[in-house]
Amino acid sequence: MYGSFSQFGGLALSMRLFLAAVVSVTVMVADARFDLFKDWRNWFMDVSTPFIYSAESPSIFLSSAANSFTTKGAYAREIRSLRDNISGRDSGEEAGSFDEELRALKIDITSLRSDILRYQALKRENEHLRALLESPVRFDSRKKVAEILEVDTDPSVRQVIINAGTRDHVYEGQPVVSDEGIVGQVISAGYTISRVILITDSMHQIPVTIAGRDLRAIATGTGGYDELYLDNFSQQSELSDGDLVLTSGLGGKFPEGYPVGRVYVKGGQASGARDYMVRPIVDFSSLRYVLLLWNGESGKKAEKLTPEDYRILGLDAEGRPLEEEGRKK
Amino acid sequence: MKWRCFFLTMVTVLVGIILNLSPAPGIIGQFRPDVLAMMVIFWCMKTPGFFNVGTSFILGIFMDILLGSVLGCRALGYSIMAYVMVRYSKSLNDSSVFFQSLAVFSVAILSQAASLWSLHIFGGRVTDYHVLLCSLSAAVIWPFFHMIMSALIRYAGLGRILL
Repeated sequence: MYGSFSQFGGLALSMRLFLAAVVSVTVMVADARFDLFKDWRNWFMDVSTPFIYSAESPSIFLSSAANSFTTKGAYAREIRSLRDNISGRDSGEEAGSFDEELRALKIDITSLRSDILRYQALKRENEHLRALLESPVRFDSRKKVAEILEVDTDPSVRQVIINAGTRDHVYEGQPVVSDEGIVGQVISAGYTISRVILITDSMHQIPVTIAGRDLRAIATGTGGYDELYLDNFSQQSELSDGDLVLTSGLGGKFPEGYPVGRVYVKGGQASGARDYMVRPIVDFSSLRYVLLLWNGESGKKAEKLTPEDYRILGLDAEGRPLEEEGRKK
Repeated sequence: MKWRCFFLTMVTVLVGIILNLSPAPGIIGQFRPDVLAMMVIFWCMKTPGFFNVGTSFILGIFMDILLGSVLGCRALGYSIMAYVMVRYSKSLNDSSVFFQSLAVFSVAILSQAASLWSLHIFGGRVTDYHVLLCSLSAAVIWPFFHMIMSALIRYAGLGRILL
């Protein structure tokens, strides 16, 4: 029946299974407990790049086919949701006609630009005052927008793949945010794509602080979609539902002051200790674009940066901030 | 002939990998069978001397790399699956497609259980009933899958050897 495909000589079948089981358990322990494949991760990303792009292309094709049937009314609704996004509130109104919405969008952009001018003046003033107080100036970080690729990941992990890699100087451990708050960090960077672990993954922890309070804590992912545990803070301090949780910037990985989520209390007081949870602000299920951040600190540490990159980061060739030097003179 | 079989196997496996990676919309994602696992089951049954535990192990590792899970958890599941299929390939080839469906269901459950159990040990969060549904849907589409694959084999001119 099998013609020329007879059993290859060598090992017996059960011996092969035994070997495969031993090797896979060893690999699992090496990966999960000792993290021995750390240096291979970026290479893994490069290997999977063609597969990921080819898995994504059918969905691109489908969505572009759907786009060619979009009506003007649909575009008007799209513009309305963009405007709501800009103003940061949900007006709840029905979208007007396409032309009306376009005009309103132009007006919104103009007023936004005038706000930016005022903001820049304030920023300069703030930097000046901080320099007078001799406290360190906070520099703007370089940003880059990346798109989340529509490919599946293992259901047991909370990860996404983005279309930016070492080509764009993405590095391992780089903070990833969205326009709403913290998303996660890069865990492996290939040449054109990288893998981002979300803050809700059970392997992820982020140092946080509660807005308006002198309180440090750690938010640990649960592995679910919309929950984080709030650990490592003094239980005497009472938190209430809706308290805003921000990144504390401790550990130096994440920039300070980005919103993580809002506190909510799980379980009654019957058990004595109350469980504080954080509901992330970012809606991970509808996330499409993310921002990669380079702050001054990591810019210094990042390897393989050209003088041009230093100039973009606002640093001189040794990685010192340029403006500070100018002030000393 | 051997090369043609090799080529056909590789192409179908590649299709399986890409189907596994592409996102499934909404509720379908919960029922979606592991297509690569079905390919492994099929080829282990048809060409047990050629597609074996080792090949399945390598494919499992590769899928772990692509999906970003703990390295080796799928490799373990696929190896167990391949072992059972190769072991009973003779009798399964002679039995009806519906009996094969039953076998696919039990083997898929077995391999998923092994993968999830190992994931659980290493701290991943396991999505519970999902597993059962995926194995069930694999068993349900097996007759159609078998039909398509058989047609492919005949088209490649390997029908006399493999079917």
